[in-house]
Amino acid sequence: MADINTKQSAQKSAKIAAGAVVCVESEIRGDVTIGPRTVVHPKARIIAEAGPIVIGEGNLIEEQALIINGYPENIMPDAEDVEPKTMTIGANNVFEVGCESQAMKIGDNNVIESKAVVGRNAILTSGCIVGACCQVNTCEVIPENTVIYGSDCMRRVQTERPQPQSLQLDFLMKILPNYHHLKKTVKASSTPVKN
Amino acid sequence: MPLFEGLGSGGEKTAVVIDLGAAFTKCGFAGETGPRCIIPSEIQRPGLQQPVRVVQYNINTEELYSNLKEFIHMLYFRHLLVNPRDRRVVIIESILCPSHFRETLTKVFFKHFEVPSVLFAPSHLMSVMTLGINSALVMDCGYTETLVLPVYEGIPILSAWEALPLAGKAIHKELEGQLVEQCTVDTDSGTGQSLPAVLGTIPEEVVEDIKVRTCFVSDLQRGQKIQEAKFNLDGTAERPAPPPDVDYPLDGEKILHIKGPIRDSVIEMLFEQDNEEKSVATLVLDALVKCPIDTRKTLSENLVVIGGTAMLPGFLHRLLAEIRLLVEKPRYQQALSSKTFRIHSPPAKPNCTAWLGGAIFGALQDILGSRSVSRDYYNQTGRIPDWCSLSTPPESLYDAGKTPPPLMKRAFSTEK
Amino acid sequence: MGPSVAISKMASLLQPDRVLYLVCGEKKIRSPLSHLYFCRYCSELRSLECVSHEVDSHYCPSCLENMPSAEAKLKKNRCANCFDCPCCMHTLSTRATNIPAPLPDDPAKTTMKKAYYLACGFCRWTSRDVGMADKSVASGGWQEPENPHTQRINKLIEYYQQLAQREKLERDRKKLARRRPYMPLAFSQHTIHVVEKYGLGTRLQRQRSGAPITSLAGLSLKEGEDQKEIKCEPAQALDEVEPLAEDFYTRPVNLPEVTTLHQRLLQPDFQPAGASQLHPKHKHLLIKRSLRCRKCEHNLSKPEFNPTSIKFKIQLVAVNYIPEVRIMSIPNLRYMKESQVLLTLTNPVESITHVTVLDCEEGDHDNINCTSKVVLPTKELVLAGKDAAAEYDELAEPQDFQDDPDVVAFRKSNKIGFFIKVTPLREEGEVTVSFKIRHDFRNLAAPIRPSEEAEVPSETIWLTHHVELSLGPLAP
Repeated sequence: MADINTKQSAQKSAKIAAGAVVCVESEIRGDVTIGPRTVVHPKARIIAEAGPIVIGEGNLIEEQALIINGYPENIMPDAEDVEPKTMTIGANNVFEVGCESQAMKIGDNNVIESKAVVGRNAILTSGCIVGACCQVNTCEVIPENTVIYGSDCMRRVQTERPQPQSLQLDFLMKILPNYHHLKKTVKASSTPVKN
Repeated sequence: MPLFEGLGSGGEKTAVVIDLGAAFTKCGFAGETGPRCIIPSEIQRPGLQQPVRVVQYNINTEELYSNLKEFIHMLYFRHLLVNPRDRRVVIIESILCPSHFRETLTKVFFKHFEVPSVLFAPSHLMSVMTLGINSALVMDCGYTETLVLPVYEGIPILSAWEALPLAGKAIHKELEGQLVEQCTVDTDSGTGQSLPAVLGTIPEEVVEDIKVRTCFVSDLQRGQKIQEAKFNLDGTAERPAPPPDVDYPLDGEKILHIKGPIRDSVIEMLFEQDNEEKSVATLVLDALVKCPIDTRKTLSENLVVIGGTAMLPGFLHRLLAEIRLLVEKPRYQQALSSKTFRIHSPPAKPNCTAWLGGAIFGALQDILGSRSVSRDYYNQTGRIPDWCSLSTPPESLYDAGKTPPPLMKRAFSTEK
Repeated sequence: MGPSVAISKMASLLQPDRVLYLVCGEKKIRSPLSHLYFCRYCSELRSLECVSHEVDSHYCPSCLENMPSAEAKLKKNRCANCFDCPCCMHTLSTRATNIPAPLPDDPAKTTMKKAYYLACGFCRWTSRDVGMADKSVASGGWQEPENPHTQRINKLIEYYQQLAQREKLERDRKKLARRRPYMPLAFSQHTIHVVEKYGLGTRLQRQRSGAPITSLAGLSLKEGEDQKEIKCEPAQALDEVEPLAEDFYTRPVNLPEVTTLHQRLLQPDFQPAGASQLHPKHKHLLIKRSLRCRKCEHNLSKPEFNPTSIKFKIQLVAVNYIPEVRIMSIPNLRYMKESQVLLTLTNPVESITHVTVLDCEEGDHDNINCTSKVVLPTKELVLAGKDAAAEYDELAEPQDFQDDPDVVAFRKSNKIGFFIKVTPLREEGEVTVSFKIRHDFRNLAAPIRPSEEAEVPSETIWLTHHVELSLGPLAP
């Protein structure tokens, strides 16, 4: 696992808003901002490698989920002149167990189900669901309320967007501190600062 | 009807009705209003990625037998959920069905599934039964071919049949060609890539889905302009504004950009006249010309179009317009005096019309048995009578001394 | 077939295709013993090809409720309670929510009321998507739309049935006279074809007694022929067909709103093009299947009635009755060189079985695949009975069979190992060996025997099976 130094530096740079629950066993690297009422489970990974990651309010990031702002395949990490791009994630999104998201922009109320992969080129608007094991890596803006499901990544548009998981979040915020140490949050009064 | 089965005069269980199409099989029970299922006519073979088509005429009999056996087993035990031994079978067949296929199919039903009887019913004739009329000019536009056959007073005028291999399969081929040639694909690694570079070929199911969901038949005026622009090489004829492009996600990583012009023009191939000046519309008129002169008016006023390809949006409208245009052309103007064409709308979707006719016929328990070939007859003779066997009627079947049954009976049914 | 799937999976570990038993049904089939059945009544091996399959019982794969056949027929083989998603075919679940509803006594106030709708957990389709109203009870009462042509079709059937009945009556009345068919003859195209092809031959002419062809299949009823005549309006052809809507050529296609071909075909009566017309369908039932010997009509396999049970009331699988040959070790095989192959033979029954391994005779029609010469043990092999308890009883004394060590390589409970000598006769390809095994078989449970004679030892019969071993390619 990562040595203590990197862990500490990671902790330093993560700006965790008051009211967020981020377990210490999660791995957070680089410039990451986490909004209030967001829950990050143990063993979730949020890695801001090529640029900062800003995560909004009320998101649920489950075990082994990977949110990564990585370098595109063909660009070397040491290319200095590449402007760091910020990855933004809106509010009330759910990242289920084992999913991977590289999407640079995610709106609100999306669900990325277990083991689903969202590529760097896709943009999730709002209310979208990427079904279990689906891979979405097209260069497109996925329209609102799209559901991608099945082995062929079939699509449909639902009339209602998924409900925010507020009950589940409340429960987790109550129960997780009983069993896990949490990462420190910034003071309740101060709002997280973007760089 | 099916609720009271067993109470009917025959006291038999309702018959099974199967329309074994080249692309899709429709199957269900007699007396019902629609088939229980419409499934691809194919089976999965262990170790093979691609499914195997069941309706193939150019494979050896043993393989065909085993394919049909597996497929029909699936029909009975996955979809119909009844015992084959208990029910008569009505098979909707094309009149162009080769006899070796027919014989193999019969063998599968009698020898493997031990069904009590089999009736082969021509699809065109069965379609007419769904309308409560006796005469119609029936066009079946399915997968492998478009086949026109007039039915007059309940009798198909077999000599007047007309067919062209212009149907679903040909459209798929053309559509795939145009997609490969003209369309681009976006993938995660880049946009606007040529289709062969990314995919190689497109599976036929995908081509079919693209056809069904995005393509349509232009009306006559528009279609003519599209054809003019296509064959006019100096570019003076201008094509009507194409419909919008469609982005078709092939999977989670590839998006196919379907060009608008493909959508409205790919079906034109059915109506373009080839070197022999044939199209699906001329089939109707050519068949009519071959019919006895006193039947033509009735037939032209009773067109029936069946088959899945006829379900493409705009198909019927265009067909009627084409026919009305063609009939004014010199080659038909002389031959045909009747210029009125009217088209029926049967009480079922075009791909199920023939099946429905079979289901109606199969519900007639008073005569179904006498029209069918029974297992006993088959076991005695080892074959199913074909129309061409009329020249040597199976006389041995009937006890000498008894009056031979009338012509049609003798050839096509067995009685104990 | 639950068990045969399980068996074949198990057997794939053992490479079942290397030892094949010949089944002589209508067709000769070579198949691993684990795929075969044994008819105790005919005392013959049976394969899935030569038994008749029957529907045993219907059940819903989702709720695992059994449905009697009569009810299944009535419900068109669909479960009353479970639904499939019309979009992705996943099973739908019923979801409960609270919706505000006006109080009955005071419409100004609202109260929370339970409402139920159907939702798909996979593609997130809900019954609300297609405008189906929520239900107030969990069990639903969801209705499937009815085919709009039902009435017309039933009328047609009634009409044709009347004609058919008339034809039958007339046929019965004048057995000897030429019948006049009322129905359009499904096959009459042949007549006309023949007439055109051959002209009116003498026999044809005689039988048709000069009637014009077109009258052969007259469908019309003579007026006043019957009081209770059912009339059926003939369908009217249309002059025009609706053209495509004006905006069809310009409107962009929104793919998720257009149903796929697969989704359409799942609703044969409607085949809707728009996703908003997809209605949930009741879940299709599955069946348990029983197998019956075609020769003696006895059941070879009959599952238990309960859908949740994977057991069988009757399951006459061949591995429970017939000694099984397996290959234990194969040496390097070389062209025209004799090598010893070690085989095992297992006795599946509780009594001692005597087995003789025999050469195929010259000109044996079953022996078509053999590519080598084989020398088999000449002595009879004696297999101890299977004793499930003995395997756990370490103190049990091994029975003494006084084996000839040249023939029997080893012996372990109901199994022996023995050698055969194989000389490949072909320079390339697979080495295949075939021989017959002949063994005694006691039909212990034959129910033909009346119960008072139960004490009488059952009759012993001798069975012979043709076995083929595929020993792989020659050593390089």
